[in-house]
Amino acid sequence: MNSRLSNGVAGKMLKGNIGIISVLLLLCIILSFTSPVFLTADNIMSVLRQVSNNVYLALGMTLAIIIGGIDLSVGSIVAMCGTLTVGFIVTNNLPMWIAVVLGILIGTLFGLATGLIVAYFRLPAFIVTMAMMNITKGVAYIYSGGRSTRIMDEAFTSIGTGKLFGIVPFPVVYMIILIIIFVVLLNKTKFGTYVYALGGNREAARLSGIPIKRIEITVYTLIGLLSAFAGIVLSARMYSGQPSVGEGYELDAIASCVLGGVSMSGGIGNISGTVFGAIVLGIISNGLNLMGVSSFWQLVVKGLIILVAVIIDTQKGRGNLFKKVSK
Amino acid sequence: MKKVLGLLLGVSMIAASLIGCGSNQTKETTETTETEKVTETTSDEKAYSFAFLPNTQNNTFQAAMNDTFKKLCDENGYDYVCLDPDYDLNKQLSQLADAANQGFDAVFVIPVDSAGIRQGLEQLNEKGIPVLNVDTPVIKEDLDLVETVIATDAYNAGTLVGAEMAKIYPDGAKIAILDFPSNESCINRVAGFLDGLGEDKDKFEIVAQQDGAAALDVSMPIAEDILQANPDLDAFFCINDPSAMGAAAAIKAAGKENVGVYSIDASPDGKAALLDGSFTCVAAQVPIKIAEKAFESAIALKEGKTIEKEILLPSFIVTKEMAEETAGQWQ
Repeated sequence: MNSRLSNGVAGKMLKGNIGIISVLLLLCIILSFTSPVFLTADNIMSVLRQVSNNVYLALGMTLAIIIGGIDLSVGSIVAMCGTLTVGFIVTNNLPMWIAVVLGILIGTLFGLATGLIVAYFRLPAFIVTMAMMNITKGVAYIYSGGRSTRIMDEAFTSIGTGKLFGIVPFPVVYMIILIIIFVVLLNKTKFGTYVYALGGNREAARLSGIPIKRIEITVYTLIGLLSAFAGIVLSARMYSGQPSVGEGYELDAIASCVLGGVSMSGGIGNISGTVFGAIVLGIISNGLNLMGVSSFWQLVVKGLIILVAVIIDTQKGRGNLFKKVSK
Repeated sequence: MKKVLGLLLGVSMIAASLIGCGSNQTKETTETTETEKVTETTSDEKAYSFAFLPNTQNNTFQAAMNDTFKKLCDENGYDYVCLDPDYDLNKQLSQLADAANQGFDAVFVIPVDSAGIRQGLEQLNEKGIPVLNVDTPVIKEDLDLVETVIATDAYNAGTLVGAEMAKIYPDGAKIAILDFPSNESCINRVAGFLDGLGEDKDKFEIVAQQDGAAALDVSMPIAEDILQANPDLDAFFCINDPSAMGAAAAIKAAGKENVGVYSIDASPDGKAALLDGSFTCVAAQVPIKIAEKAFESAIALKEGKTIEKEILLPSFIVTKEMAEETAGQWQ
């Protein structure tokens, strides 16, 4: 993962995410001893496929948190867009590509609406996206009547179940492409600079002429787009549009960001940290499942690891655990 | 005001459920409707009002019950509302209180939490409104507050699936179980399944047992991990169809072909999965029959007859022929 992502900035990324990377390594070492299948290529692909859905959402969530916002509607948009897209194909007999484009478009429009409301009414993103969470979930239930819709059309399901060269699952391929896009977006573009500036000090950003509204609208629209995409890939993997999925996905995305060192007060964080955070979360579930640990205990273990990782992460800033690093 | 709100809620709910469902079952029922309506109105002029308080409406199972209640009430000219708490116990308690104040002739209740709705049941009892507990039973201590419990025999459904598995693997097998221990009925399904394996139980090795939360998106990654840890797994037993569909998707993703999927529900999706070979065997839950029996029992109660305290409707293994016949519906 490491070398694939970072190219020239490997050193910087390693230093910036030393906390989460050490947790990841520690986990991998422990799990490779406790489970013989953990380090097999097959299992690694399986874990990456499992985390991919969370990564799509966490990429957008990273931007939202960096600008000092949050988006609670991602899980509901996943459910809505998966349900609608499958419904468009199966119930309304639309051609697949039109259904997929429509699904993505609807999710993006809801993201755009969130962005417009947050930017122009100056409302807290927490409240606006909480409302959006209810609205989008409602749309999924109204359209489907609460029923799931099965889809066996291989052209559609292969979006989620196909493999590149018969090895790398498509969801993992999308994940890698999206990570690269977001790393570039956040580090190499004016938009990225503005995102950090806005989260660091909103007033200063406004005074220096940064188009705050446009940045906010773009961020929430991007999240809508990513969530819609995640919903469609997930429904393809599940061979069905399920209006009831997506419960708690926003919290997994937020947890990945926090684990990866994104500051909940905004201004600080990076994409690679979030990706490592998501992988750590995925590996915890995978490892504990491989070991047959009961899901009740898994909750406790997961919570403890989040706490430990965050403590390591905040301590490094005080200079007593690791050297202080800049974002 | 509350009544109007309740009506509005009921109407919107029906509208919502109509959008999703086709018109395939209306035709045959209209004929019987006519005759029933005549006998009903001549023998008894009184129009009852019933309410259905399920744990959620976001599930085809409860939606099928709601459709059945609605259809039966419409046929008989009764008032009917459905109050959906969406798995929120607190909301259900308010709805039970509202129902008590509205003076229904009888209410059908699926508790959000078996142990948590005593207060609401007491309020209904105070107003003398009979409670017919359907699908998920309340705890033993609260049984005196309900007239009857009407449910699919979950244990029976489990034993049928267990027996079927024992038949298919006479020499035993390595199996994994996706359960849902926070639901009493699902606990009984697993207990029934294990007993259903019968004398050959010891030949079966349970290599993993995990909580799949009765949900597809939760069960799928767990099933994937179980397949990774146990490449020689023979079969999954899952406590419901969404969970089993998660296992089936995981099996497909892992490129395996000979892993069996055993389930309980026989929902429209489950039947489709049985027909396309994703499921090996599925035992039926019978929401429509539960609703019909509950409706019948409510009227019997109102007519002063006594009804049984516990009515367990038998399950059955759904064959491919049956699945084809009743495709797209519950039973």
